[in-house]
Amino acid sequence: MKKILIWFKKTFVVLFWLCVWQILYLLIDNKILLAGPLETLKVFFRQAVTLKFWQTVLFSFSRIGLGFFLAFFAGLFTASVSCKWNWFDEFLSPVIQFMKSIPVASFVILALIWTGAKNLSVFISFLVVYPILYISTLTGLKNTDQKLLEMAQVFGIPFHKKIFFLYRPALYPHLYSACKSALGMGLKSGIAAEVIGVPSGSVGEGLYSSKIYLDTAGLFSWTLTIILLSTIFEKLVLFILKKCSGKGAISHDKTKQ
Amino acid sequence: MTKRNSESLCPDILLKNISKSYPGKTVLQNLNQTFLSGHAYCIMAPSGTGKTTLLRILCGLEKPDCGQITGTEHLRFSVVFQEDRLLEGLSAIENIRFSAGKNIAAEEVQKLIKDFLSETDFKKSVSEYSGGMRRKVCLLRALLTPSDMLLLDEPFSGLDEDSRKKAVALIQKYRNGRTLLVSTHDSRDAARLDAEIISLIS
Repeated sequence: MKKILIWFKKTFVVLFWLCVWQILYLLIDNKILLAGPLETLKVFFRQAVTLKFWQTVLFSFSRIGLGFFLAFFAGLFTASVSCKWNWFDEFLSPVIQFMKSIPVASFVILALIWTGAKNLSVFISFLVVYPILYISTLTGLKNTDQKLLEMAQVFGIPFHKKIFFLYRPALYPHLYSACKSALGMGLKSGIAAEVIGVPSGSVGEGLYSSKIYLDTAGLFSWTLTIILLSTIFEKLVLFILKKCSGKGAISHDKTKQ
Repeated sequence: MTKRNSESLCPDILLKNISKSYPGKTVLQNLNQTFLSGHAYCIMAPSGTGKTTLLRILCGLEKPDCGQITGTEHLRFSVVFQEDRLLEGLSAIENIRFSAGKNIAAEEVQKLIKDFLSETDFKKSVSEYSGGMRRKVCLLRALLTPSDMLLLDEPFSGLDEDSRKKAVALIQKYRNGRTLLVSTHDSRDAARLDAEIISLIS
């Protein structure tokens, strides 16, 4: 019963804002300034039945996804090395700071000079995601319960078991929240990079064309595509992460010292 | 139990002039002690007098400020820590098998812990257990893990008299000739374990 009520509440809120959008559209009555929700859906479904649309989506999401996963594994690996040897963290620290503070647009221009537009979004999503994953992984590893690690040391627990039962559950909450924000940021930056670099057959090119031809409905339709696919991508990655999290030492010792 | 336990012959352990201080407090000063292989010892001392520190030094978790230890180099230890140090998301059986490994089958562990835990508790994660139940799991984990020496830091805390007696019986049953060192406040525990009392107060 409670679930149904929540569902109704959410649906009502969405419908309310869709109505506001439609009313604004009718009031403004200018398709260049604001496209309505129905028109946006019409354009979206018209696009969605074409092969070119799916090729475009695949082009962008495969590259952004590749950048994300490369950053994910690079972050995990380098953070593990930093956790083991602190000097490596100090060695990497300026690079991480650099990656965090440099504007994405500067990287995009640089990447265009270096690699060209085709694989631009791989590079950009990697650069945006990597520092987030590195910092979160390192925090998670450093927060692993020291008392449990001592226990494992005394009992001579093998390294693979420590990873599986001690580090993995300790890492999970940090990785989960990092992935949640990094997925959105990686995707947005990747698409933004495509809009600047305009690689042929990308979502960014679609958005750029909408700007050139003042096609607001097309712009909204591409935006809707990005939102839908990023939601699916996020849910999928977080689901896999949850399945891999295990049930080991999630909480710390219950008893008092 | 495992083959290795019953066959283990650990060397005598010699502590010579062991001292350990923490900022503002000296907990061990020039301690000399011999732990004979296969014997049982009970450390009786008030809180804060270095019982836990001594156990931590023996199992290699801490280094003494000065002094010499011989005989611990290649020993395997099974420890009951003062805090439980259990994997909260796992059940009692899973916790025991985490350290005991493949040396003991899940069914065997289940059979052994029937005296302590009801069958409905087997599948629960230890985070749902009471303090006493958790203590029993810690004790079983130490006893069932193959090792050369048992270090039990206040293993009976939180146990009622009946459980205490059962725990002592369990230690005697599964000690398998291992050197035993127990820290406790209760002299009756030493008597029940037939252990030599070590007093840390100089």
